[in-house]
Amino acid sequence: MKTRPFATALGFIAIALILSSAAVSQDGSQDTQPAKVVVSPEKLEIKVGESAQLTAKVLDKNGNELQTPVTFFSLSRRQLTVTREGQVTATRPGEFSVLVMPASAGGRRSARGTGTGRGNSNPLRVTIPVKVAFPPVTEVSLTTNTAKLYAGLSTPMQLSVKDEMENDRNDVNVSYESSAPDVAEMDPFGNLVAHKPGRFTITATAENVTGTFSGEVVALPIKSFKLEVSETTARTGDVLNLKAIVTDADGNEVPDLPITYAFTQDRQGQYTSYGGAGQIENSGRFVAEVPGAYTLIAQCGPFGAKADVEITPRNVQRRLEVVGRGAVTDTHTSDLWVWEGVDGRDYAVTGTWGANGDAHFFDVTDPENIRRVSTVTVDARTVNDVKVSEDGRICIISREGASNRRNGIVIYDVSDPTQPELLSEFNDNLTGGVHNLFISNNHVYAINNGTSYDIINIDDPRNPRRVAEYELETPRHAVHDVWVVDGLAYSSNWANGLHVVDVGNGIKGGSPANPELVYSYIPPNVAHHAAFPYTSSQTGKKYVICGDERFPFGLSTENSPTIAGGYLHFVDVTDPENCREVARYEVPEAGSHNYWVEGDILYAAMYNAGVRVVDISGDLMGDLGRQGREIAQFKSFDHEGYIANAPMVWGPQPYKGNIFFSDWNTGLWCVRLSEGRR
Amino acid sequence: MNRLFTNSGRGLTALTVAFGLLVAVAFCAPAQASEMPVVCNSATTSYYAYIACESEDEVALVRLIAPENGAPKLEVVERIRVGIYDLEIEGPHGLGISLDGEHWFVSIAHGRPFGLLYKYSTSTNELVGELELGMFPASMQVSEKTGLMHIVNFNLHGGHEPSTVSIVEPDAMVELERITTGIMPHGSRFSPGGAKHYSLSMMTDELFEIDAVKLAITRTLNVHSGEGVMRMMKGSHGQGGHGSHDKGHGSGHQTGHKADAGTMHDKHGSTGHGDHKKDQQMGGQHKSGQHQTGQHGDAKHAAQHGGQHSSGQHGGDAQHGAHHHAIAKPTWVQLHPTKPLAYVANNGAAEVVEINLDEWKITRRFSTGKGPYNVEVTPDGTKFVVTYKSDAATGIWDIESGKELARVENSRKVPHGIAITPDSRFAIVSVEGIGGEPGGVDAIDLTTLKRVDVVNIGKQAGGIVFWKMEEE
Repeated sequence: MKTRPFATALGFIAIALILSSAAVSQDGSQDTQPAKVVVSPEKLEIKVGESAQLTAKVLDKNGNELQTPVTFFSLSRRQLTVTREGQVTATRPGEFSVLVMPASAGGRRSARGTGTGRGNSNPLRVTIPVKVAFPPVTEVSLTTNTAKLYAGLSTPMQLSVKDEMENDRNDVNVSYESSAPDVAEMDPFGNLVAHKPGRFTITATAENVTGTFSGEVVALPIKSFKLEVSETTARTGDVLNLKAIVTDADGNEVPDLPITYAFTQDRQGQYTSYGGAGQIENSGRFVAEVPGAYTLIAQCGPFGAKADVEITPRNVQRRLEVVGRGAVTDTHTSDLWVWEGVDGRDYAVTGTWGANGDAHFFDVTDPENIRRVSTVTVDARTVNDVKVSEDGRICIISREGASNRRNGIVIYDVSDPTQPELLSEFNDNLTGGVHNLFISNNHVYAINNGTSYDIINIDDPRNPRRVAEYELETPRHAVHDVWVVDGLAYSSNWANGLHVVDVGNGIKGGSPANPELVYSYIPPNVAHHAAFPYTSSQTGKKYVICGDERFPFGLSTENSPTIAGGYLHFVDVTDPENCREVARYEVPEAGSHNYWVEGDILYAAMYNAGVRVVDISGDLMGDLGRQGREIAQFKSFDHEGYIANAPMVWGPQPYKGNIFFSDWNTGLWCVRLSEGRR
Repeated sequence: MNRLFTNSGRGLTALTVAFGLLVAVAFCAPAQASEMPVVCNSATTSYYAYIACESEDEVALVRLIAPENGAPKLEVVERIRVGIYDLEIEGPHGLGISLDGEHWFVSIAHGRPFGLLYKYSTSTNELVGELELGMFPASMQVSEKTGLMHIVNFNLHGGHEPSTVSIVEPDAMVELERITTGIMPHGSRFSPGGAKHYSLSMMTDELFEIDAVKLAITRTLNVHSGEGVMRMMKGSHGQGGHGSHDKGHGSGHQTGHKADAGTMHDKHGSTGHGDHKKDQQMGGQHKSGQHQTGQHGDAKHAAQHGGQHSSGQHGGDAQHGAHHHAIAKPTWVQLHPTKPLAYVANNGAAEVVEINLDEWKITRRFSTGKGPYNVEVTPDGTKFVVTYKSDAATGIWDIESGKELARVENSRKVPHGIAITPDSRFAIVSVEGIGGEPGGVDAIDLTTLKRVDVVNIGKQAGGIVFWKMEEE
């Protein structure tokens, strides 16, 4: 067999070239390139306030040390300070990491570099775990708010454990010991159980640090125990007030006893599996959700009393009938506003969502014959909100998704709604989009990029000017809506809840240019979306309804219905220093959006559950829907809707005896409560 | 013995094979360097890109199917809704891909009060991570050298004040550092290999170069006048020196409101300080919660802010407190894959400028259509592609000759981003559209210089990133 030298040589050249190419291209580096970073120590354990030094060396793939500098980073900057040279200082306890990166020259060059692909997918880096121990416990204390400890009763105790850095420590084991267990001792739930009269000391121990509570148990001074109830008959949803009258041997009332209230109900079999038939508070307030005979109970230790009441159905149900429509089925519809025009006729304006930037104006003077009289188009994808000034002359349109990304608001003269006249645009620093707005007293309150609400003076609507902005300070704050009544601005701030701000009411000396916080409240659910204040005409109590907006199954913008979530929270703000959530209105498998109160009636847009009319007269407590307070409901089905047969009611507005509402999929509707029962 | 060298009477075959290998090496080497697959006579090639739809709160995964024989076809593989607030437009803007291709990232402009970076799995398109950044985080890229992501905080929704580039560790989704650059930072691209990062200050006409390891600005260049500045890196400094960042960011930032001293500038990293325009308009009535903060919105504060924020490392930024008059309004920078050249789209000047990175000067100017916005260089280094935002067209330029080879009309108005396939064969262009019309994706054949297909996606299609190429 003969060989061919030329071919052989060429073959070797080819192989050499291949190998050479592979050697370079596989890792893009020479032997002297960094291949490994060795950090010492491999892990750290330090205490808060202590520092430690990390050192690192860089090795090539043969294990030779290179003179390559290394850079250190903290992956938890707020807890662990790390200099670029590797000095680690702990500021908070916990488990953290330090990133170590060689600062090698060169690096891998790829043919990419275009943002469209990737070259080296595994840069040389090391992370070092750092464990920072909690500082030692230094203080244990045990207290109670109860003035007297009575034999036979349990009292909740407040335990506080703090460490050297004043951290509250809930992670340490605490043991209790009583000096007189037959007098008093702690139960596993943190309550002090008083057995009999006598003195005692409880010692709480955590990490060998102790705290003590000394007290005296006295005998229950009860001679007489009676129960008074405000009414013996009531309707579902009516709140009854219970009061235990406790007197001692001298006939004096004993005021500070812990009273437990409870109830039983004879359901006579018709409410099997219903769950709770009512609700009762330790303050003595009781409300029934279903009709029937109830036994109300008050109890204190071995003493007790009971009273019977009869609850009847509320019977408020009526029917809603359609009066007229201003159908919009080619796009989603957003908010609405209905007003009496300067010409004495009645008009409505609606926005559009995820569309072309349209706002539609309707003549609704004859609600049985609603006519669209004009449409304005602004540079936006969503006109989420539309509002008209008190005098009916100025309409403000919000913009999101503008093609030029300037967004902001657009101001129209709607003295003649058939021919709205563009007066001005205002987008200075409102480029992030305005989702909601309100007009009050020649000022526009515009939600700015979900960050703040900006207050814009429109004394001269052709030359609007910003006079103030109101922004929370809490981390990750975001604001969704603002509503202004009587000089108070009610803003809805998702997880940060409700802020009520004086913008001219005077209670805090505020003005539009000088907004001052009056009070705040955070409902549960971290989904606070809109607020509406009202005062009960019967009780004089002041409430703010705080609504959720949630889409637990997502929002379907095309083709299929959406199932929303969330409900309305009724917050008693009569005492602004002690705001208290007392009731809710919830529709199962539906969610709340906008709402309006007129008289003692709530008009609520409940998205896929349609528009709901709810009796909110009298004192409020518990689940209003389950109490039979719902007067009427209407679901805006339309097989020609933008999404067919998918009611999605956005916002209602009662107006001159009718109820106007906008529906996301079908546009403007007008309905009316009929006299007939549902 | 290997048959290649032992063929009796078949030397020519051996020669042919050897030559073939040489050819293969020659053709495949650049692609191997990029660790991307190479198209070698496959029947059909699929290219995947993610595109953000800014007014739809969606990210679309689009595939361009290019058969060997037949017309290329675009299809929407999946539309992924992003964001938190279903009924608000949150504005997904920039997109990025992890180095291993297993994750994609999208920046969200909407305030909470700051923007967010979301991390998704490319295998499931499900959300796997989240990180709060500055105001209106926008363009991003991951360094091949460090594995760290650099993302500009565009701060479109804030005042004209210096903003930052966030340095993010994308595995842990932790922000390591913020580097103050210019007003409205835009574009975020690394040099090949990832050692240097480039971004632009849209409102000061500056190009910023950041050392990716030292995380320090090394040079700036005015992309209109061509004047350059060398920055002295003062060496490394501890993160502890950046305490003011932490005050303004996350749980600690409640402290940042009342005091107006320069060190407290970082209320939220970017928005709470020195909003000169707003403050001037409001006559000092700026309210933040219950606190009066209007007094700090002056030029002096801005200068203090810039200087202190830099903590020595980003020296000279105080000059940005005084508003520059931007002429070029640059929006994008892209690096040449093999040469020390960068291409910058001067949006306001209707030009692309070529910058020699070794000499740090403008070497050529290319007069383009109106509103050049994004510019990308083909991986083979022969062309650059530019979207003309105001002309509804995309320009394709030959780099060597400096000639515009073609100006391709886009499917609708406002072309935005470009992703070029690794084989330099196609440009995939996002097109925003106007008003209620859907966004679009245009595929342009870079050989025939023709638009070959269009597909509709969500409104205001903008940010785009190439994901992968597959052969079938």
